[in-house]
Amino acid sequence: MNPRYFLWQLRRWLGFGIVYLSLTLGVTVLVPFLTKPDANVLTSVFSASSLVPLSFGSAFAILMAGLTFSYRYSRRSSDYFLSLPTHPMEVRLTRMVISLVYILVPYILSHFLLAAIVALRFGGVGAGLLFGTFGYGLAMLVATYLLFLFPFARAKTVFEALFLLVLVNAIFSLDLLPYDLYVFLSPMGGGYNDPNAPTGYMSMIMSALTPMGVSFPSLSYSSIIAPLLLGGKIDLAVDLNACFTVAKMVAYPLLGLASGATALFLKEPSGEKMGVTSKGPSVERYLLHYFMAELALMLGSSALVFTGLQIIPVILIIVYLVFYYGVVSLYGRSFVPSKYDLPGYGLSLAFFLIGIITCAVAMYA
Amino acid sequence: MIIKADRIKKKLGKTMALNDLSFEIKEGIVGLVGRNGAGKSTLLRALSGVYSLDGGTLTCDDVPISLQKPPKGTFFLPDDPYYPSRLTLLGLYEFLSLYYKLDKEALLSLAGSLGLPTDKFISSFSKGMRRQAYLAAALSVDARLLLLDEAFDGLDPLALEKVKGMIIDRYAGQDKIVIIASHNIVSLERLSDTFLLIDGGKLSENGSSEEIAKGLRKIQVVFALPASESDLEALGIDVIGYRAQGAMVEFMTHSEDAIELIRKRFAPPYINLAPLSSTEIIAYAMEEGEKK
Repeated sequence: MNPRYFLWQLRRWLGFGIVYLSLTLGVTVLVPFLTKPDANVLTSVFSASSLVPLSFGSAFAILMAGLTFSYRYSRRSSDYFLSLPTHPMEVRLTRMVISLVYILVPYILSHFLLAAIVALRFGGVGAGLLFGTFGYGLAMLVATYLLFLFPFARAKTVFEALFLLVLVNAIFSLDLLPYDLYVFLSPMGGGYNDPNAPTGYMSMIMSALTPMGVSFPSLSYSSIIAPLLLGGKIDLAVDLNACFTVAKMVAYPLLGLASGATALFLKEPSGEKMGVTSKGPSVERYLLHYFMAELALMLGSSALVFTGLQIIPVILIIVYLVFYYGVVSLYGRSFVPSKYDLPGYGLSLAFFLIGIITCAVAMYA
Repeated sequence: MIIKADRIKKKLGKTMALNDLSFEIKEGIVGLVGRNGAGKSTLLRALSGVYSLDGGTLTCDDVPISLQKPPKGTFFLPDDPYYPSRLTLLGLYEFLSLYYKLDKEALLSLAGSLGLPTDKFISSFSKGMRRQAYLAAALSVDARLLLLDEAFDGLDPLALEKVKGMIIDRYAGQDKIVIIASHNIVSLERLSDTFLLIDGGKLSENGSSEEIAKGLRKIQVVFALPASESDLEALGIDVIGYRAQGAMVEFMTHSEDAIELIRKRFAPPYINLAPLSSTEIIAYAMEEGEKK
């Protein structure tokens, strides 16, 4: 890596890091001071607040994935970066390392700060609880960043990259809606404040707020777990969520590594393909495949525990496809399945199998 | 230093931007001319590693040039250069110095002679000033191969002459190549050692202006009695670009005995072999290339 470029780019992106750090630290510092020192709510509230940096971190990781390849989104910048007298991978690697620094350092700082505040205010027990999520959160942030590197590496213009961000956020909102409704309308929705709530219930809340694009775990709530909870089938919901979480923890880090490696090592496209709207495979196509793979993972991990609710992920697939067709038709591009979709279909199949295998192991091993 | 292209091809969209283009360039200042859409920018981007070729070979000192592998010591200044926001001239120096070796004193000297402020953001400059800032930066790079795409667009005549002087001072007589692409031949007057004419992605002409001229000459005549173009052609003289300005008639021709023939037939009070400018030669060559 060129150390001079590393330092220069680190300074240029400092503003983004400061905003992220400020938001994260602000919430992290506020929550302990707004909470009464009641040991029964300690677990739930501080677990939730430790995950706030994680939620912010997920969104920030996606932003940094876009910034990593932003030099490809205009002809002017691609003229400069492609003609540089350096190894083709050097610029990508430098920007990836800087992105990871800005994603992880604020998370680490806020986590330790929270632990210090909790320890000072409520003793060491609360602080110890936070470290249970620390390592997992670090891994999930890295995986989220890597996961979104590949689609942003394929985007050719600022418009495509921004559209990708809007699409992700729109789908997140759609996804979280059933969960939000459940939280606010269900008698069990305020359970995390209930001292008698079962421990497994808390793990569901934590799983809901972990990254991998915040929506990914909440898909399971929308389609299977929330209806089971509403129907009073708590034990079944807890089992299914455990299966799904385990499957996700296996599949998504692998996918993140594959995505990151592909984005890093894939040959740079020729300059005329940058800064122009692509006529080939659209970037949203990859996002759609991610979501379909997510749904396949959920179907696989719940296949061994048939509840009849698995029809909901199937409906969601149709909803996503309609949403996708509707949105892309707005700017005149058509989505026609082609050879570029084969890896995505393969991914969905692989995720389906991972879901079945990991949950068979979780349930019967 | 030699750049060789052997039947290179590049397709952009549905257009063959470079179509079996072959040429050889040695050290010096080369004017790359052609109409808009001729393939000049595409060639510069292929030389700088921005574009990959669809066919043929492009080498510099027998080392292949490919995507993101420009020749060592190359600096490419496109027609619309990239610069990060909120940069002054010194910030531009810092930015370009990340990957290129720049002479800061040379940059400040060039900027000073062009009257460019060093403490204001480049984004606040006029178009011409931005162009001057980038040219000053490009000329302060220690480059073996300097590629300038429409570099003189927007320059006022005084700045243009200064920049030409800078290019000659830093690159003339060195083992370096400067390729300046322009559709404005006048801007390359008294600058380029050789010219590369491109038309429709193909080579039209390559060489010094004298080589391209190929015996072309310009004749100025004052006729005692009116004589039209057809009168001259009747003598067997090929007349190119016939132009009458008051009593003076000016035209170009390949005919070696044109002056003798005109003297015998018309006994003009004044007839002279006038010097041909590079602009006239290249313009003629471009017209001839289009006819082919």
